[in-house]
Amino acid sequence: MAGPSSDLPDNLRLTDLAVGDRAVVVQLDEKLEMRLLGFGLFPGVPVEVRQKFPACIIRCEDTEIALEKDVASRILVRRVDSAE
Amino acid sequence: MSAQAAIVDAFQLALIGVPNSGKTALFNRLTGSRQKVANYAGVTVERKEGVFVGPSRERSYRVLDLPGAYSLTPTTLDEAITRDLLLGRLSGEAAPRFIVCVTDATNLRLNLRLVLEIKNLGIPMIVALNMSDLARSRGYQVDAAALERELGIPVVETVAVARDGDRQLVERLEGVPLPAASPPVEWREPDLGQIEVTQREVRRILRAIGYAEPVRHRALRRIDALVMHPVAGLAILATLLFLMFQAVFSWAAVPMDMIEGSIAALGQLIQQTLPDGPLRSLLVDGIVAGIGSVLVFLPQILILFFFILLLEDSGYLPRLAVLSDRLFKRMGLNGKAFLPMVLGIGCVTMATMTTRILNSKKERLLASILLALGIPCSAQLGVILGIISGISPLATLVVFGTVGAQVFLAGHLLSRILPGKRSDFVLEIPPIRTPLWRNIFKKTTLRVKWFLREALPLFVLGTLILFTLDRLNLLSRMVRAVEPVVTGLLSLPSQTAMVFFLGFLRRDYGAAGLFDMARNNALTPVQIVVSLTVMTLFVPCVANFFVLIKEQGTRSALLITGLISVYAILVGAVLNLILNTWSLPL
Repeated sequence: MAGPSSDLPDNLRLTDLAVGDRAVVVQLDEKLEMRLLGFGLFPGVPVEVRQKFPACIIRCEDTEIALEKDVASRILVRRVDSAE
Repeated sequence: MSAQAAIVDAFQLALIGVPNSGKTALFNRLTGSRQKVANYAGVTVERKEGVFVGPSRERSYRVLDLPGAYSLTPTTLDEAITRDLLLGRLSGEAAPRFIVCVTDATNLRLNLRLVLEIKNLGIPMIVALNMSDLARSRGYQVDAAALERELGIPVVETVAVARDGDRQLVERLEGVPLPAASPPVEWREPDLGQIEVTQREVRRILRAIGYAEPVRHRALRRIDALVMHPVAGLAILATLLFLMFQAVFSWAAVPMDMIEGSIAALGQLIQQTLPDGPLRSLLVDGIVAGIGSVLVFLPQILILFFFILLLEDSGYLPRLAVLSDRLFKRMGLNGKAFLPMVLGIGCVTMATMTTRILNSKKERLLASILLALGIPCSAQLGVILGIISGISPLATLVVFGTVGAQVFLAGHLLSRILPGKRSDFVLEIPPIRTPLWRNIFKKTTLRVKWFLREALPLFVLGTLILFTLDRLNLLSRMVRAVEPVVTGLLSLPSQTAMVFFLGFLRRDYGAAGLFDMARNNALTPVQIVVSLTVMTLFVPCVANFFVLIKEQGTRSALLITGLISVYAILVGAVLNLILNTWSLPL
């Protein structure tokens, strides 16, 4: 697969989410995989967007991770309804 | 026969751990001053080894403190060295027979991956749950027995900064039979799938032992939202920085005077006791003066460390990295560079040593250059504020504006020119929490000790060089050589050349020199603004130069210092031209 793709209609970039949205990580950019794995971020992990500016802050289980916009836009996620 | 003589074979063990897990503190706790520090062959990574005798006095331990590593998949030189050594692939180093893996009990999630990866190597090991006291007071459930059960390897609690904090570890070690040399470890770089499996196992273990992030206080969550707010957060940051430096300068004034007085008295005492001669002069003008030049600034450094550690302990520091990331991005750095830059205002030399926390080689080089170029250390800042407060707010604005703009411009340009890459900004944000005073005091002491150990020799070396140059009459010749530049390009009095030179070799001298000139009305307002700007842009002091050599190599250090000197003079010349043409009401 060449780079992040959004062949599935409900795949979004992390930056497309709004503050408070919950999602599950679907795919990471190849160049970022190793780095993000170190922070416990990999496909299947649930995340919640806490803040989007000046940097994107997500909550992943009970850890908060700050990512700059560039990095966040290279993470593909699937939105999860808060009711779920 | 002494107990020592009965020791036949030393128990060899290696300490390994995630950066900031307290691994080195534990190493110091175990081995005390019986340490040997060298470099690994061909690289600038420190190799630290120490020995201690067990309480039963039956055997001795040889401890190797391995460079910090997050995992066995290296992203830094430190991590590569650690991995290679563990696997017995580092030439001249035997693979360790026993491992103590030091973990930060306040952040197990980030630490257990390394534990699991090492466990898979099959080398006998003990896990040290370090900072277990701190973890408890922050509300984490620390259960060594449960972790031991889940991991299937011995787990002990340690508090590396407390006097008896290594007792459990040592007792456990005493019961371990002397390990034999293990066969070479089979190891393959894990693929992403395997790392994922490891991370899932980390989560499973954390759940099984009931280790979870403590519930955050509502008030603290509100504070968190406020300090991270793009507007309010920046306002809070500016206020805090202002108060911090206000405190650094005002609180330090009295102890600084006292230290200065004591050093002068000591010098005088030697002067009276010893007969006149080169020895006396070496002692007074070289060694005592050198040590004095550091000790004088110790109160400021101490207060600055205290505040920085207060910010760190409350969890605020990583948030500042988030707030400042966008600014630093334009300079080819990322938010992590915030810490070295703020520390630089205390002491650029020390701050240059902390550029090691930055991820890429390019960022470390870039940050070192910007520190040397434009961050005024406390000594320089003291002079600048002292002199300029007597002129006008506009003059202050011109000096700081010029310096700030130059740092930004240099960063922006260099980030395009220098080879290498900026690293992506990803940072774990710890919860905002009430600071623990005991913890801060302890850490401040450790940091100050570190500063004295690392920086003191460099400053003494600086004064010795000054002393030698002066004795050989080389100093006046060097000053004369640059005088035309100073008087011609910068339109400054010729004595300023001497002040710049002295300032580089002994910062307190240079500062005082400029101060005297300003007070005696030897300088016009334009000259004051130009000289202060040039002084700030120059490489601050010879100790900084030595640290640059240590961190970046001799060639780079010479190149950086040379370029910065030329750059500083050019900026000064342009500034001089502009100020004289426009004749601003300074």
